[in-house]
Parts: sequence; C-alpha cells; structure tokens
Amino acid sequence: MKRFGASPHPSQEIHVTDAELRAYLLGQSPQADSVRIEERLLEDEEAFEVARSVEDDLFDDYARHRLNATEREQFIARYGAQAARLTFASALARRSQRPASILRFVPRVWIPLAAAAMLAIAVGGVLRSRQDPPAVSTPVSQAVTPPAPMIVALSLGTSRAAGDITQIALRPDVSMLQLRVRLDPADRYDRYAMTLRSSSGNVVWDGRDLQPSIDRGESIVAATMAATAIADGSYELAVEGVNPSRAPEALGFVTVKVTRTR
Amino acid sequence: MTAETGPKRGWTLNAAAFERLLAELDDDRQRAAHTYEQLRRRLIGLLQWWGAQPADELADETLDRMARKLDEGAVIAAGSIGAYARGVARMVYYEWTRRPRPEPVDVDPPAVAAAEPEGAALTCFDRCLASLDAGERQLVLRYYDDGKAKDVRRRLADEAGLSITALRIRVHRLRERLEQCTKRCLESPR
Repeated sequence: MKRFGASPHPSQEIHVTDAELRAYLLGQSPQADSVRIEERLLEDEEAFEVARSVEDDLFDDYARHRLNATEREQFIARYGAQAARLTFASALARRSQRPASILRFVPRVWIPLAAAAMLAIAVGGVLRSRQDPPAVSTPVSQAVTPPAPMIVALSLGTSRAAGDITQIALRPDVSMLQLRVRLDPADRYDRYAMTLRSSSGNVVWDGRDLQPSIDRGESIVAATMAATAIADGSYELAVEGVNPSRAPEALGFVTVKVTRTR
Repeated sequence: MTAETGPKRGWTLNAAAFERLLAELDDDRQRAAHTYEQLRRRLIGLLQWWGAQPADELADETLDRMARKLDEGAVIAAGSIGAYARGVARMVYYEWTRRPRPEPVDVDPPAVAAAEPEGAALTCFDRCLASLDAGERQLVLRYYDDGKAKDVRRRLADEAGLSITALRIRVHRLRERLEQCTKRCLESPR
C-alpha cells in the first residue's frame, strides 16, 4: 500500500539531529549532508515540521543576541531580508523574557514579596506584559520572601588585560547573581545595555533598556540573573551606553571567572 | 532516478497526469490529495531555503513536472519520492537561477535593522497573542521563556501529555499563526 509522507518505520528512519538541522539552516552543512537532509525533509512531514521548529529557535536566538559572530553572519545571509519574521521574533523574545532584575536598591536586605510585587523593573531589562496575570500580581496573603541575590561589584576596563579577571565563587545556596557595574561619572546615557558572553562567544544573558541607579553615591547599572544559568567558566560582561538618536557606544567590559563552591 | 532536465514545450498538466501523481502518493485518493498539499508545502520550504522566489510557483512547477514524467511512464522506486522530488526541484531551481531577473532596487536594509520591535509591531503582537486561548498563550510564552532549557521543554511536554516532538510541532504551528496574524495586522491600513 502506498502511503508517502507519513513517518517511516523506525527501522527505516534516517535520523536527522537538531544540530544537523541547525547547521543545514545556517548553510554550514557539507553538500552530501545537505542532500540527505533535504531528501529526508521532503519524505517526512514530521521531520519537516521539526526543521521548522529548529528554524524558529534560530530566529529566537538571533532576537536574543545568542548567536556567535559567525552564526549571526550566516543567519543574516539567509534570513536578513525577512523583515516580518525578524520583527515578530523580536516581539516574541521581548514578551516571553523574564524580568532581568529588581529595581529597588535596598542593598542586601530581604524584600517582602508584597513590596517586591509593586516594583517596576528598573535596572533590569524588559517588562513582561502577558495577558494572564504575571508573578507581580500574586496576592499579598501568599507572600513568600525571595532570597537576596549574591551581589558582585565590578568596574569596567577598556582593555583585555590578562590580569583583570574578577573571580566569583558561587555558593550552592545562591539562586540569583547580580553583577553590579560602577559607571564612570563622565558616561551619562539615557539607558544601558549589558551582555554576558561565555568564552565560546555564546550570549548567556542580555539586558537592553537598563537604567542606572545610585548606590552609596555611585552611579551603577546591574544585571541580575539566575545562578543556574551560569556554569563554571570565564565570561565577558560588556556594557554599552544608549542614547535614542545614536548608535550604542561601548563603555568597557570586564572578565569574570565563575566557580561553584561545594 | 532521472530528474527532469528542462521544461517540455507544449505540455500542460492534464487530469490523467495529476491523478497518476496522486496515485503515486497514496492509494486512497482523499489521503493522496492531503499528502500532495503537504508535499507542496515542503517543496515551498525547501525552495525558500535555497533562496528561490516565488517559491510557491516553483513548487507547483516541480509537481507538474513530476506528474508529467509519471504520465510519460517514469517509475519512482519505492521510498524514493522524496529524493525524486528533490531532484526535480533542483532542476527547476537551476533554471530559475538562469532566468533574467529585474535589477534589485536600491533600498535600505530594513530587515537587519529590525532588531528591536517598534511600537506598532508590539501592539499587533499583543493583540494577536490575546486572540489565543489562555492555554495556548501560556504554552508559547513558557516555551520561549528566556531560553530553551531542555528541562523546561520536557516539563511542558509532560504537563501537556505530549512527546517533545509533538510539543515542538504544536508550538511551531501556534507561532506560525501568531506570525501570520501579526503580519496581517501590520499590513492593514491604520
């Protein structure tokens, strides 16, 4: 009986991995692999839809600045003209991203949830405006006190000197990490952007539209992230100043090395 | 497999050739029609990845040629329709690359510059998101929430009673709906 397009018997299936699909979509696959993948995608509807899902993830990675330089170039070469899809991906990334940090600078104290629920996201990146009630609308009667983040104070450098590495020892009980960057008084911008990249170039945290605050007389901008998102290793935190009418300006960067203590 | 090497002048798709192609896809004619549409969609996707435009017309041309070859007596080996379709599509693509095309108009590169969604795009996105039911809305937002951690998606799949593959496909279809809705909203007159 003929039945083209349905998934083949597992014994006959030619498996294509997500990594292979991603490489294919970015134009990185060798010719032989491309032919094999394309024939498979034409043969099997499910495989094709999975490829589309991998493609969606690529758009999401692009929108969240998670592609490395080579991948970004390849992505733009293939998808750079698809304005509608890029705009949509940015909108979806904006609306689905968790708030990056909490505004209130009451340093190193417990913040009751009732008060935390009233805070706007000031130094953190993006407000999440979902149709269904977000976390901030949790009733006071169910208040649970969140733990304070582990705060690391940093100063920016303008050269990648080998000795300028801040060591961060993450304790097992730390759930949130806040990187607090002291700003040069001469650098005055409306907003700031911060990007944390791993040594392989992958973006592990990205905050746009961050606003500075004053802590003990110093202007600072902070990035707050889940400690679980930061594996052991070296990272580079880059800070940019953003004014509406101009391109972002790099202000400096700092290298941190994260080690989890036992 | 011998792929088509060029358009045969004077041949137009006829009912018999079309039925021959459908029969090749499935013994059941109704299922075959559905399979034809799915194959057409996959061909469009492939041609788009190759950079061919308009991909839907070239996909139709590919299917017409497959039908013609079958009508002329070609035999496709069992389990080789995907490979055969790819071969024909590749020939159609090469011919397309050799066709004279109008010179591109010098325009700004808006797509790459569209890294940050403007107000209208976000408004349209929010409106389209609100048109989903609550469960679908939560699914899409949680699926893309701050990364693609496997454990998060595994949990989502378990909650929904789906395999990971089924979850991915469901979310992709929801995303497609949202994308089309947002695009229509942005293109509609204010």
